[in-house]
Amino acid sequence: MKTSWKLAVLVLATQLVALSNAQAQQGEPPQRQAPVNEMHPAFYLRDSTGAVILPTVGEADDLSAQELQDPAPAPDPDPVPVPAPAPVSIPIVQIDQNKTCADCHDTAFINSTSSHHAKHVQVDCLTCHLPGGVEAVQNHAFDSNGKILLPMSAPSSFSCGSCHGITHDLQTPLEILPDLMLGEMPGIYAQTLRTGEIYAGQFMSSSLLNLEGKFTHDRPWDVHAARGLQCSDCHYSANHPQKATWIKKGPVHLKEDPRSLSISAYLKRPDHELKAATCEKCHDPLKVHKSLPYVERHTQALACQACHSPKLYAPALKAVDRTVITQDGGPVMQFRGIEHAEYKAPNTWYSVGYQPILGRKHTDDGVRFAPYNPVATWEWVSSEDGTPVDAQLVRQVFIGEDGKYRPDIIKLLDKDADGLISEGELALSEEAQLVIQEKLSVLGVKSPQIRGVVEAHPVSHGIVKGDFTAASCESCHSQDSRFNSPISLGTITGPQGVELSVAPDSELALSGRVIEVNDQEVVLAGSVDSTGTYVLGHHRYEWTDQLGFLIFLASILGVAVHGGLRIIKRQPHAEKPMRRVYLYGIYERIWHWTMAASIIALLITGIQIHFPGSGSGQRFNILVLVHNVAAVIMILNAALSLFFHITTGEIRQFVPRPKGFVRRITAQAMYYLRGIFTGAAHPLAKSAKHKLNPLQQVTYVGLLNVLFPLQVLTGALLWIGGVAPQVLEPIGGLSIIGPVHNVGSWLFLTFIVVHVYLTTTGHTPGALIKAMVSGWEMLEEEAE
Amino acid sequence: MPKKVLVIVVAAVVVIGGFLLLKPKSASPWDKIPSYRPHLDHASFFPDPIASGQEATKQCLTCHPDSSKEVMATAHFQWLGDTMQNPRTGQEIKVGKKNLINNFCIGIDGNWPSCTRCHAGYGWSDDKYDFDEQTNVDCLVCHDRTGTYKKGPSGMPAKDVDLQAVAKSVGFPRRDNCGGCHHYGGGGLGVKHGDLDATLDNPNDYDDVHMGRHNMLCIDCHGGKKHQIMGKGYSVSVNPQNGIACTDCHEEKPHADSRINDHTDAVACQTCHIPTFANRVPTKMVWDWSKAGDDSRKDDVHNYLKIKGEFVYDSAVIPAYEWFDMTVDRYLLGDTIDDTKMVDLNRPRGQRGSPGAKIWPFKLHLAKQPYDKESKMLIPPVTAGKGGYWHEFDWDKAMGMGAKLVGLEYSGQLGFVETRMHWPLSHMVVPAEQALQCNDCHSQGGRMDWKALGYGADPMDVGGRGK
Repeated sequence: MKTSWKLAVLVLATQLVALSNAQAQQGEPPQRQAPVNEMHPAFYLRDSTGAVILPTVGEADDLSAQELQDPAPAPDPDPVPVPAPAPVSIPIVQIDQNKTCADCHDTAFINSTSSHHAKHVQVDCLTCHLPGGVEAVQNHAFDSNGKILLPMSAPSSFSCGSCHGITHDLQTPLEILPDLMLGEMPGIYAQTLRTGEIYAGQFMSSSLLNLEGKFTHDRPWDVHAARGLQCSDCHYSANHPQKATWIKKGPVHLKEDPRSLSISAYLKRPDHELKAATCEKCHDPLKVHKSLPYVERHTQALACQACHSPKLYAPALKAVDRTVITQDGGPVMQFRGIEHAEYKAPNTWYSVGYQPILGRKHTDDGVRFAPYNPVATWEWVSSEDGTPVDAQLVRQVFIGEDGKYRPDIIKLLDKDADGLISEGELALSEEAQLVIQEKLSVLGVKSPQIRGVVEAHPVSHGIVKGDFTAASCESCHSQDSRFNSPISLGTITGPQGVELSVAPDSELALSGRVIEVNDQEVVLAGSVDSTGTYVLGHHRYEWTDQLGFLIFLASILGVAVHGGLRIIKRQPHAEKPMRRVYLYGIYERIWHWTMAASIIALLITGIQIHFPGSGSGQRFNILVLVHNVAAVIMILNAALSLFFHITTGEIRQFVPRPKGFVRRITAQAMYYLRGIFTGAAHPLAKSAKHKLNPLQQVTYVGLLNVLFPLQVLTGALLWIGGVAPQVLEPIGGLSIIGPVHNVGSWLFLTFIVVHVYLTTTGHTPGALIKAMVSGWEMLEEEAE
Repeated sequence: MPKKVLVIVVAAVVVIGGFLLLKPKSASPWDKIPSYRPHLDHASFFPDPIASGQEATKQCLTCHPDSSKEVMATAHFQWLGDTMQNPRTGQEIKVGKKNLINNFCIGIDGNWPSCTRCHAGYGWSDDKYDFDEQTNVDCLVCHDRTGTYKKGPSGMPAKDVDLQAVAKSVGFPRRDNCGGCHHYGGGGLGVKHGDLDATLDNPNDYDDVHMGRHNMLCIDCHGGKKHQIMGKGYSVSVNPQNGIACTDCHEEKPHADSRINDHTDAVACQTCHIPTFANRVPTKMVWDWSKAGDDSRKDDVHNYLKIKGEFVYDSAVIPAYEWFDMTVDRYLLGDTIDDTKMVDLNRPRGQRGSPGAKIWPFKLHLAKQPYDKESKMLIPPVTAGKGGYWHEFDWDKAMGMGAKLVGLEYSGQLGFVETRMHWPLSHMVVPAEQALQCNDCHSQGGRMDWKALGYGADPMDVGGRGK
């Protein structure tokens, strides 16, 4: 961390020199051009008593000793910057920033609202607002009044990154230096360690990292960084005049409320509670995602980053043991997606990346599934208030002034007595824990204890543009999906006797997940609690598929046996006089075959939607589209057909006559069960007026009045659930509708099998099918 | 039945045909590339061995009688191209490699045999060269397909070249024909241009998208009629007449994202589509002639040569970005300089807001070259030629001879002044997916010096060029 500050100062110094040179540096990209703020007035540096701090000056200078004691009188109305003569040093440690900035800004208000001045964090003004931080004060000039001219600016991603994780906005290739192994939190790697995110606009293929398939990654680490967004563009101050309309709510007809804080009022009291913008503040997901079916449902159920931050390539922790310190001076760490991390240089680690798990997250628009990186964490906390113990203190216990392990630590941990502490010896035994506890107490920690938790760190950066989301439907819509895929939490066993539990903050994210310790590996298994969520293709009631398949199987068997017997016992039909009758009109045939084609299309696409194979990807879209189109065709066809049947009176054919119904249906049944094998005549003659036998009538009553409407209704509700999810909320979502639709489709499939088979029971096997094509059938002369 | 079928078929044809005809035609750049005649094998036309280059040309002329005259009218043969008015004398002059100096090897006068190795002709060894003799045109250098043709001093074919085999192989020029000279400018591979080197003989996708991914030839863009090669090199040209541009094939605003299209009025295509140059082969960036002649230093082509001085090479170089309206202020022989400042030999004209000016990427070549301190003129010394600096290491003699050859006086007061040349880049275009992104320019660490370009600050924040 210290190194990066010095680097920043160096860079700033060279940039100041370069800026004065009007010509572009030939061949070299300009170094960081921090915004030179000429607007911020010069101000006095003050110490904790409020007294003015002046630079300690060298020899000859413009400020006489007299003026030093009495800087106040007659301020120069036109102050001229006087370069401080070397050597000069400004006693930076004396600067009290609250007192200094309070001359113009309400620092009490700022501190009270600031998320950076709460709990364990105390970040000062200059760290964020002066490029280069507090130490950069040394480089700047005082004017003849003793006021310093500092180029104060809004925080850039670079300043946020100094504590929050890797940012990079230079033209030089991105790299990760070995001080990653110090595992500082906060520090320049903090967010990267937690999640694997890097906020940089440079192409991943231009970095120095060893990424799998690096040259296919012609995309920025984060597309927002590439587009020039700084952290503060999304993480904005709550009363920022430009962003005022983002927060205000009002009557539905009011598009914008133009009332906002004046700039001077804002600058006096900028609210430092930083809001995080949601994606929808700037993006409208419904205007794009043309290849995603049911965009409305997806955006309701998923946070954008679930697909738009699909894979992270920087080293992310899966387990960290901060209760001990390794030779490198940092905690024991294991990383996700990294193979071959033996070498000290993180640039050489072969990174295949990892896909974060999905967990529930509270957002302004309800609970959504969002990506998380779960990390098994052991650390020392002060059990009084749960504050984590400062890493510096832990380091002090383990490492001496010479940078090596203290001898008593070696004695404590070195089990095989070889004088070295190897990897296996870095887990604290119960006895060792007591000793370290003691030492920490001596250093001032109040009742130190070890906490072992699994924390789920949310992923929100590393956003990619559409083509790179690599979102395939089956990453969620399959049996083993991101909802229930197990994820490793490393092989660190941690301190003896400390059980891992889910951290309180991460309970929602990890609900339904189970921490399993197998042999030497810790795994996060289980499934995100599926209450209230029914994901097509992932959730299923197994028994519906099993039952449906059994019925289907039974029908196939039945048909095979029946047909087989008929073939074996082939009997010539009793020759009766036949005549050709025009039974099926053109429209009847059209609607029949349209129905057949659409149902077959629905079944074919439906079964692939229900059991998505691997790599269905873009095909899934097409399957859904074809399924919907076939459904619409079928419904229109059925509606027209119903109209036709009613207006022509043909519907009477479908209604069984009550008189003698039982006798007739028994006769028909017996024919199929026995008579057909013995070459018996059909018990009931077919004619233009009586096209359907009683069994058929009964079947169609059930099919057309129960199964068909149910299937259409559940199908329509499934579609509504995709495009207007809020409609389904009151009826409990998809968890009932889905299985019903599934059972219905198995029954339809069975129907097709049996129906097609039974069409072979005409006087020749193909006669009835031919009739439904041509309309003409050979019927026996006798009518009943 | 058949009638019904006929009706359906006709309807289908009308519908589908109408759709195809009325569909808006996409303007594809592929339509703009010339197509070439099938290759005619010339093997049977050269049954006898050929003794000299001129003889080969003579034989070419028997079937292609106009070709020599065509070539002789072009800058490839004359080494003169643009006509401009000399601001100092008011005269109309033709300028080109023949009479302009640069800050590499400086000037050709006195050094002809060495420089004219890359002349598209034979025998230019002094100032009495016959530019009207048709057989002096070198057909083979551009049309050779054996890959063995090499030129020696004064542009004569090298001794070991089998001219008959070369003549038999002729066809339209491919990349290595042009590259044989243009990739080796400045005295070695990749030295001069930065965006032209032998990488382009067999480039892959990322080396150059046109020549790599699409296997295009130089003449696909630079082709012209009657041997008039289109395109201007701004080391020897001063205006864009007869030049080529990306918009010859591509649309002015071809991007899907309208925010990028808004850039094309002020930013040249090359600026975003050539992120770095000299990616595989290092190019010379600095040439300090004043250090030449030191015996104690070891010769090393990339660092120091006794005959030439000290150099700095670099690869994967980020270009310099300046406004350019396709004309330059050219230093002409006889002009005086301000020797307290860096001298621009071909300063690009144009500023933010001036008509036709866009931000272009440049290779900047810095040099320290000899000049006459008293007359304050740049003098092209004789280097490779007889009695030149490369043989005798005598600046005064070299400068004296050189001055005389170009009609100037050398006072004997030798000085070295910093000079600079701008080389606009147009090759080594990367595929679109690798082009510069927003933050490559619009960020704290970005490549643009906004103040130097005339913007107060990043125009993304403060607004750009108004109309």
